[in-house]
Amino acid sequence: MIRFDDVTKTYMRGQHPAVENLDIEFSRGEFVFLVGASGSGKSTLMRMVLKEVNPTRGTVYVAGKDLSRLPSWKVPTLRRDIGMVFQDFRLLPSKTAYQNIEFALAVIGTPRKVVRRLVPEMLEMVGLEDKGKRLPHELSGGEQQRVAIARAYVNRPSILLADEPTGNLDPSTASGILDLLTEINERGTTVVMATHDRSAVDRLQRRVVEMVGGQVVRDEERGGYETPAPVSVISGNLPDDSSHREEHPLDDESLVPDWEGAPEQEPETSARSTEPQTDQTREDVREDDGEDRPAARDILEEDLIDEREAQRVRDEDPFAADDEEELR
Amino acid sequence: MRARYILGEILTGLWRNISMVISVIIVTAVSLTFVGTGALMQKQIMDMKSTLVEQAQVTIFLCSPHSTAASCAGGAATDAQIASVREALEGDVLSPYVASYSERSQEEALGVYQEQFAGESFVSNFTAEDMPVSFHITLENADDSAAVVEFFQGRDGVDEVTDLLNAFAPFIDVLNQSTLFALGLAVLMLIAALLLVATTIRMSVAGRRREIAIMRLVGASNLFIRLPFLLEGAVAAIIGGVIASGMLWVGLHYIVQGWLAPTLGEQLITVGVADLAWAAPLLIALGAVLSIASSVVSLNRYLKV
Repeated sequence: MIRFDDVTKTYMRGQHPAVENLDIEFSRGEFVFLVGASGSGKSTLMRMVLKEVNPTRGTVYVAGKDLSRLPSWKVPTLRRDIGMVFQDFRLLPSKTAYQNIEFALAVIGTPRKVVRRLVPEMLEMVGLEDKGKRLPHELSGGEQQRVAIARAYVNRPSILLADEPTGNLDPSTASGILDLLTEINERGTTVVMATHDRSAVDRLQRRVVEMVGGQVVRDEERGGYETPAPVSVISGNLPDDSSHREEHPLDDESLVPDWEGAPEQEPETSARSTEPQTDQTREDVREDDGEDRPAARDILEEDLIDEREAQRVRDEDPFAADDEEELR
Repeated sequence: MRARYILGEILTGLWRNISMVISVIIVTAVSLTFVGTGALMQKQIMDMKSTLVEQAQVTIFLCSPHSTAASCAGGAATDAQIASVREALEGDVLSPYVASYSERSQEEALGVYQEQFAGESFVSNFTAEDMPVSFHITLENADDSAAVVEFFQGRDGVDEVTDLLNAFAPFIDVLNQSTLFALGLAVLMLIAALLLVATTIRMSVAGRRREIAIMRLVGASNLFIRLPFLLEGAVAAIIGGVIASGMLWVGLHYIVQGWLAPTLGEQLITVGVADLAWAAPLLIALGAVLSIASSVVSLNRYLKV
């Protein structure tokens, strides 16, 4: 369904690549968790699937098509077959839940009759059949995300990309969203979900792909959020230290020990001893996750934030502006 | 679904940037008025020139008993002098320039005179004897009139040689200069209009970033995303073109037809309100095309695929 063939993406010449030598395949109907600290390349991977960005090297195949050979006028057709869900929902604030879903159909020229049938169907599927007339700000976070998922799925795409869909939600709401994504997956859609949600990954026990510094360091068929593997950053085994990656290369002898395919294997003690910062506590790692949010929202971000909202974000989070600068 | 959506978006967009849209309309209207004025003046010049070609361009008046020119010291032109003019017109030197000519005898001249001043009491005081014989020459090429004039001017028995083209020259000159001036202003104003359209589109895009982001995400086609913006600029420019046509109508109706034509003569001033039939659609189309071109450039800069 989606295949990355030795893909490298460097945003700016001379900088460390956002994604490096990525070789991975997601097959039809799969449910994949994409984990990793932010800046590890998860969002870039998703952007490449949407052809938001083109790889610097290598080839991305989506539904059997080589995206580099896809002319730009066919990109909309590609995107109609891919749903996308964000951490911050991205509903149009002036439109009701119904209109938000309708919008996704209307702008691709769906006949009105079909729209009238599909939208209520979607509202029912996400459990909001009685809240179609509410504006986004009249809905709870979980409900807004349900509307966003309905909007992403209303075209019955064969792929659904979810970038931290539960990142802004409380655990029980998050679990409901996860159920919804599972249901969509069971209907045959490939779901790729980037997440920092430990309980979601642990609960579903699906394929887990962890990225560190633009590379896939872990690909488990039925994995949990953490792993004893020494290369895992999110498990606290390797410092999230991408700026010093040169000093701690991923292909460090101590990290490699043919770990792949053997998740049960105990991490080698030598790995820990060679890394002075590995005694980080789990809480430290979690704090990292929290800070990562503004940076993780980068898909379509610059298109979306209007002046007022940008000001609000700046007021709220003094670091957000810096992050935006870095992303450009 | 589509048409209604696009129409709604255009209206929303126009309303959201109403102050910018108004300035676009005004600047477009003024610049298109200048363009229209220039076009009408050129049309007037062309009409005038073609009238000259149709009519006799050079007229030779031979001496009458009342002529005061030095070449008429011998009184009215003699038959020999008349014959020599006739011969010269048919001779090898001039015939390449002359397409045709007609001779007006004294009797015919009196008839024309009486017709022109019919009803005036002094008309009856003149007889055919008082009238000059004249030759009315149509040239092969109106620009060669100077040579013909030169040839006859000052000959014995020739009172006056008039060149219509020369008589019209200052007028045509004024019109040509005015056209240049109007078009110069029009170009400046059109540049301002184009930049304003580009800015308006940019603001409109910024105001609809969320919608655009979602449209791109769900796979709306580029044309579909851009069309409302393109049409938004076009609508403003078309309104500007309509206003420009209105201003031209006012100018043609009150200034040209109400004042210039009666003052300078109906045969001379040929442009009028009827010319709006071609000028107005031209201006409106020009406005729309320029604004769409400007929008396309602006959209390519501010709205990535």
